[in-house]
Amino acid sequence: MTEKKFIFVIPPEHVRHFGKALQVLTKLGEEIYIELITKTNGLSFRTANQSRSSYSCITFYRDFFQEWPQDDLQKEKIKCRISAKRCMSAVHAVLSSKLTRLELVFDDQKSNLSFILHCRYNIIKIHSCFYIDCEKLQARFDKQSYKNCVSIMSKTLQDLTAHFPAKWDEITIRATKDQFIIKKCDEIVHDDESIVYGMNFQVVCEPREFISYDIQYKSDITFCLREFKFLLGLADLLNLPMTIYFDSRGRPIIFCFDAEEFYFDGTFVFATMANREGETDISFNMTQTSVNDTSTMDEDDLVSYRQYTINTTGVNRGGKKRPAPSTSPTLETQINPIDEEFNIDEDNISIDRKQRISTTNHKNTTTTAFGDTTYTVSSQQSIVGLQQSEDFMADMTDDEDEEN
Amino acid sequence: MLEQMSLFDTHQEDTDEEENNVNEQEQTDNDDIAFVAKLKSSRTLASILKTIHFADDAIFCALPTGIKIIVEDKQCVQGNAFIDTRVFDSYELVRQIRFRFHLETVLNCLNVFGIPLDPVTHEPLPTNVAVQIHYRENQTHPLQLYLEEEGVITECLIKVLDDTDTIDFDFQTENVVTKVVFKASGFKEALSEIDLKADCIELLITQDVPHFRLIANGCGGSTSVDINQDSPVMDTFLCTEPVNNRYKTQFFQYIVRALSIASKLSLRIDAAGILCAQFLIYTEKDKPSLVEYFFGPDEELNEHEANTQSSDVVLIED
Repeated sequence: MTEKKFIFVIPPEHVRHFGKALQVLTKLGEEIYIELITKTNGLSFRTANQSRSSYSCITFYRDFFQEWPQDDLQKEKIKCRISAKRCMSAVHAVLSSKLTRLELVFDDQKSNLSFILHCRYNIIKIHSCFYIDCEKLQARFDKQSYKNCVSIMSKTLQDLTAHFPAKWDEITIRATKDQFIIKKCDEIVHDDESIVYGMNFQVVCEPREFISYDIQYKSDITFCLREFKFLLGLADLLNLPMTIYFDSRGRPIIFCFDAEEFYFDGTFVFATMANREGETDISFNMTQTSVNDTSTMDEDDLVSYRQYTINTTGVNRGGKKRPAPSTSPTLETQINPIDEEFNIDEDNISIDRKQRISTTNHKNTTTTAFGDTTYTVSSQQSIVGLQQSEDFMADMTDDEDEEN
Repeated sequence: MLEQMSLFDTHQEDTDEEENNVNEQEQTDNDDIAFVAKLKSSRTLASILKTIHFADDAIFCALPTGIKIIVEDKQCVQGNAFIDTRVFDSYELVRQIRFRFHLETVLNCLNVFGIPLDPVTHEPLPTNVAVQIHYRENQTHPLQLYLEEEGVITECLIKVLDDTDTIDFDFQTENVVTKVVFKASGFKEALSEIDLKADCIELLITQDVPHFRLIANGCGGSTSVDINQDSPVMDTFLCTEPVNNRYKTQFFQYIVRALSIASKLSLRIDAAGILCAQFLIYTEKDKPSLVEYFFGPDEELNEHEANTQSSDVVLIED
């Protein structure tokens, strides 16, 4: 990059969206990678978490901004990364003040990114942080190759999962052609083969809740709840259709949204847990080659997928755990979810059931008979979603794939 | 002799007086009472003392014009609080007095009936607690505080300590280089996002734009606030020569604390770089009270080049 200043101006009506989107990113990773994409005329903000098990990307297009750097300047691109912590304090300021104008200034000479907030009473606040030039962060995934694709309003999804306690590490989705179940992981098997019955509940949705519902592969996947909740933090501000791509265990789950009227879109990729035997498709592939970086990482290509916290019953999950590199690795990293000690595949349960709960069939709900006490959420929200989705629903078999 | 009994039959002691309804005229039979002051709301005194509560001890002076409390920090900060006689309901001064006392103890006594907080704003609510301050000349006698709420009286006897000298900042009022007066609420909003974890705050006041700028340099970046001369937040702006000084961040934390109860803030810097921050605080009476701080500029940090341009910065954990 040369010695120029790239100035982006965000109009007051978009400031909150920008702040909220960036706030989600600061929670999902330690560093935020910024890139100016000339091809699509977008400024993208990406991040990946420390263990490289999640990747997020939010791109703001030309029309989101009031002012955009001159065309001739775009020959020199912006490709850098900033500390999420510094960004967090700037974003906090953005969200807590009433702004008349927000400017983002990339000063190449000082390697400085400034958030210039024009507040009321003629007060100007400037939050600046230093950036490092680096190559872009890119995760390789192919949305088209997924067998399952559903689309649901983000607020509906938020309502459905709002009552899942944050202390639960993961969330499981079980999807068939007829129903879509969101639940906690099932019982945990200890080393000594004893079973722990924990409290559990699930939300059962019918395809009618969704804007589009295309399931061709019976899925049972588990991914990190905490990050999922951060992602849904955006739903407060924008109620948008969110498209979810997923299929087999081990293959990452992809959440996309496209806020056309606000001129930005987002993609979130979370790794899912693999089977015990390690049968997985090729999962996540993250490329991040850094030319300027002077870190001397000699790790293997494989970086294990690491769960964030240990399960709530106190059992230490084993599996390979290698500390994730905190600086960008110089080698191409490829992530494979680690083998977990237990298998949640319902077909393989060979333990004695001490309890069975009676299955009751309510309209729109079913309870599964697994032996643990399952608290079934009667889908009141289903009815709400139903009314909403009726507006959008044309034909259930229509597959509204988001174009890249 | 007491003329009226309060609601509760209180215990009579030999040496100390009984406290009654605050509006009652107290009669003392002791001649060496040097100072008596009465205040209908202890909250007034407590909130002002809280703003200068940054050290253990304070100096108490009772002057003909009012009371003055001086707090000093070894790191060259001085905070003074002036409460005019007209703020008090009753003020009797026999002789000028000056002593040192433990500030935290007095604050705890003033708040002995508790501090009710507004459930929404978490600001202290006004209370019905009245206070009387008695002091006798002889320093072996303790400072007497009587607090009364709805007929319940608390008597506090606080030991006084030897007087000590206070720093004379020698603020050259005739040599003031710049003076800026702000509305407290607006200025507080401006300071709300300033990074108070930085080592020092840089103050830049110039005749050109930006007229007033506060910069906090932290690890990995900086935060700054610019206030223009024509901002409604700024009431007065005078600048004879540009000023660019650094002060310890800690001092600005005191400023933020005082801003919660003040209406106006005046910042003056003299030729030596000493900053005098004065806060105008209005309580129930029309006569305002004044809290002022003196800060010396940070000499070492002025020379220190804050070199944050290294690429390691972003990766360091705070």
